[in-house]
Amino acid sequence: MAKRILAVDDSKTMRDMVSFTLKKAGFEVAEAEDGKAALNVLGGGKFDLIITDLNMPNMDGISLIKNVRSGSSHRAVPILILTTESDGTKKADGKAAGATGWLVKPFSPDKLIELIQRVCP
Amino acid sequence: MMSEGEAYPLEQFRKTYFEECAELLDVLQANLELLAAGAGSEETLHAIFRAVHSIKGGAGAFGFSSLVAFSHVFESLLDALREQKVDATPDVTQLLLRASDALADIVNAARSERALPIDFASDILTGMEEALAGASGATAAASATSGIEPVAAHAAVKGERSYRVVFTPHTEMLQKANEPLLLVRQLRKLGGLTVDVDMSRLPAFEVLEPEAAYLSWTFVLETGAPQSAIHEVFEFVEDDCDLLIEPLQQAAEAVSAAPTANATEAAPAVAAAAEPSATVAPTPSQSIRVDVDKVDRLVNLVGELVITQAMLTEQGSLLPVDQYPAMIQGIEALAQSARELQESVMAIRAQPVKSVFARMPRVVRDLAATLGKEVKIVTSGEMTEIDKTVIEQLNDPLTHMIRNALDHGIESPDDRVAAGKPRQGTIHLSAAQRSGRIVIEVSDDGRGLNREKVLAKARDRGLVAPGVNPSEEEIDNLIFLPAFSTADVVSNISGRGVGMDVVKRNVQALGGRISVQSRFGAGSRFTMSLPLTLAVVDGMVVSVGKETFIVPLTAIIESLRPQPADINPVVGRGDVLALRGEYLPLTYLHSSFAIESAVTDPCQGIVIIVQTEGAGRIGVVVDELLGQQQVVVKSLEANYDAVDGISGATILGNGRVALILDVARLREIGDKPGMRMTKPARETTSEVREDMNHAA
Amino acid sequence: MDTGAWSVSDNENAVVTGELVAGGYRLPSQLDLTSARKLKDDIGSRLAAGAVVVDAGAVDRLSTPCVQVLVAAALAAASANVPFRIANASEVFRAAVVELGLETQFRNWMV
Repeated sequence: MAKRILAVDDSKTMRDMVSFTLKKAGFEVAEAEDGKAALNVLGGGKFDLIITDLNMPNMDGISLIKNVRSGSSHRAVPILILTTESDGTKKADGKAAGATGWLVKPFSPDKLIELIQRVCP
Repeated sequence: MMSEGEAYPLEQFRKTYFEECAELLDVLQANLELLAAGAGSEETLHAIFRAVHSIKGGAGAFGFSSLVAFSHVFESLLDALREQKVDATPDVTQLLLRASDALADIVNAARSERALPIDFASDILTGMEEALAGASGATAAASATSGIEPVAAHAAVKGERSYRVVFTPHTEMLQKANEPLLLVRQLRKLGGLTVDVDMSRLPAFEVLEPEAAYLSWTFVLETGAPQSAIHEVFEFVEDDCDLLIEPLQQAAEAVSAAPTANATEAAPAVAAAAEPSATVAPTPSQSIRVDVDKVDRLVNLVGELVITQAMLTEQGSLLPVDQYPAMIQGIEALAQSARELQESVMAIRAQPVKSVFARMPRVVRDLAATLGKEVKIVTSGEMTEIDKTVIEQLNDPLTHMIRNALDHGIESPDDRVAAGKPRQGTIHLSAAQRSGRIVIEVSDDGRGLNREKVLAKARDRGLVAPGVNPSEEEIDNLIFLPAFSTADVVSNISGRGVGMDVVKRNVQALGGRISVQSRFGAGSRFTMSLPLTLAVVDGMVVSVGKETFIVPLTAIIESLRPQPADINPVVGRGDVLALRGEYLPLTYLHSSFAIESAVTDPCQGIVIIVQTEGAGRIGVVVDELLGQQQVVVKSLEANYDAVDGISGATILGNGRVALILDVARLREIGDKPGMRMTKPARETTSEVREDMNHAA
Repeated sequence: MDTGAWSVSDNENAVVTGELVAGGYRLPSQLDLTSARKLKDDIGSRLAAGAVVVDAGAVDRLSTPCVQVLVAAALAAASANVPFRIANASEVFRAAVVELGLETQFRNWMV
């Protein structure tokens, strides 16, 4: 059974890139353009991993993470955050909110798949 | 775009290419092993070169660029070897072996259209490139550099290093969906991994917080990857755990470094230039090489010392304390020192089975590739220590068992899928110390033994008489008989596996036993149990009639004196003991060992509940418990012919010989009422004793 | 007290007889972080009842928190002299136990 991944980003290019890479690697992918939309999608089914951007309109990544971690349905799902900066502050914020790990843009397809294996049971 | 008509033949060519690759990799492997064993000729090198060259050629045609890149460097190094520009030193042959391994992986990845990490085998590539660079400018480098660079290059060529990783998650780590299990798997990808769990933080069940992290781990990783790769595995949890990653010194390296390091202190530049190829460890080493014979002698002497000390202690306990205070204090101090001395000496010769286990993934990988099967190997208990002499003998039987599991056990990927199993088969290799023996298990999730066919074959060959109906376990173990060829019975592949009778002979030669448990369609588990040639055992001293036995403490669950109502005879199984709803078969030592004037009624004696190797618990009936004691195991195999049901002997403080029970064999007697041990205990103890006196 | 995904076989009060365990408390297929609390409650009540027989045949995901619950329960059972057996362990279950370095411990409890 293919693993289901939710990709959350306000940039369509970014969503498409993540989505393309993941689908090619055999994952089932759903997309959402912000935190609110993501929570909606999460309400509709079970996911094995969430990959989310931090800067988004309506609901940002940090709030999304906090929401997911304090909810019940996807509390234990690994969350990877997408960051452009390799410096520590964004990572630390995301981590404090309950993110599992991070992915620094730009990323190679191999790196993305490798990280998924590292956090996704 | 390509039309279907064109795509089909290309697919066909690819298939042919990969079949060819499998053969070439076999050739490569076989010849490299010759080379490594020092048995290679000029032709060996040529064969190696040709194999790599052919793989590279095909790879170019299909556009497998990473395969081309890797085999190109590999090929160049082999060419330099042929031209004798590079010497086939042990380091270089090791490098070639690893390169061949990596090449096989790259071929497999290309076949399954799987991407390998970008830095896959980069250390091997670097090593090969450096070996090549050394060849072209060898003379210049030696005289021009200050000694630092050659050292670095050498370290890179050596490749594999050991790291100790101590990983202690903070309590809240799990709540961010970080899972230690996944980290272990990532570590395992980097190389050979041993796992040691620490449960000391685990609280009592009632107060355990279900989502908090309590377990912590110490890993030993042998890897060619840089230390940064280990850090990367823990990248996401670094702030949520205590993490220690440290390189472990390798003994051999350290030894050769010691003199160099000393010389360096006196005249750094001269020393480095004089011996540029020596490995200089970052810190001066404290280790030395010692001849194993000397250690063996030491081990034996200490064993004698401990026995003498035990006698003294027993005699000393008869002295009145107020009259001989210094004497009694001295005896106590002696006991303490003797124990510490013994532990230290034992630690010198005992080695983790890791050194043998570490070779097995490669056996699996190579054979799996040859057979076109997908198999992974999971090892555990690698840190289990076993005497060095046994470790050296372990490789062959273990390799045979693994090969057998792969060849006859694991099905082809398609067959597995058809049977509803994952494509990839799993072989578990584990070691543990139990009941004073080392138990090594090789289990697979393959097709298991087809008992009907095995039995039919055995009847055919007259191995099982007509009218006799062996138990399932007995049927499974028929495959160990010399006259029994498993090839056409259990699998269709023939001519490859080694007969299990050979394995059994090997194991028996080590004083061990081997058995198999199997479930048709679900897999087989081979259990090999080996004696520790010398060990200290915490034992319960028990008496039966006039004889004394030691029951290894680790095997004992509890002891009790049953009520008559708890003992029930069961047809075909002898007596059983009802214990809290369980029914445990009873074994009477007096009957097993033909001991006279012993207690025959369990309700008058003591029943010791022991855990046997297989699965079951049994009750052992003895007269009484005399106390707990640490005893020095004298191997019976060395001093005297092996005796069923006995794993060794010891000399007690009072000078008496006591036999150490082999709990696992007792169980077999429990299953077969009326079966007797080969010899009465009295005979055995007296002969053992004579023999030991001779030896002393 | 049982809900949805947590099925309990009819024979959940099975006792350990010799080496064989019939039936038992059937673990769900997903033993992830969120299952740990319920696992603890369910096993806790069986500990109190005097026998824990767990059927791990359906487990196809095992997480560290649930492993911790099982280990702690087994240790509690041992000190209270309550039988504790894990029967029919699935390959995933066994592999996880091995990978976490707990094979020696679990071997004592698995039948």
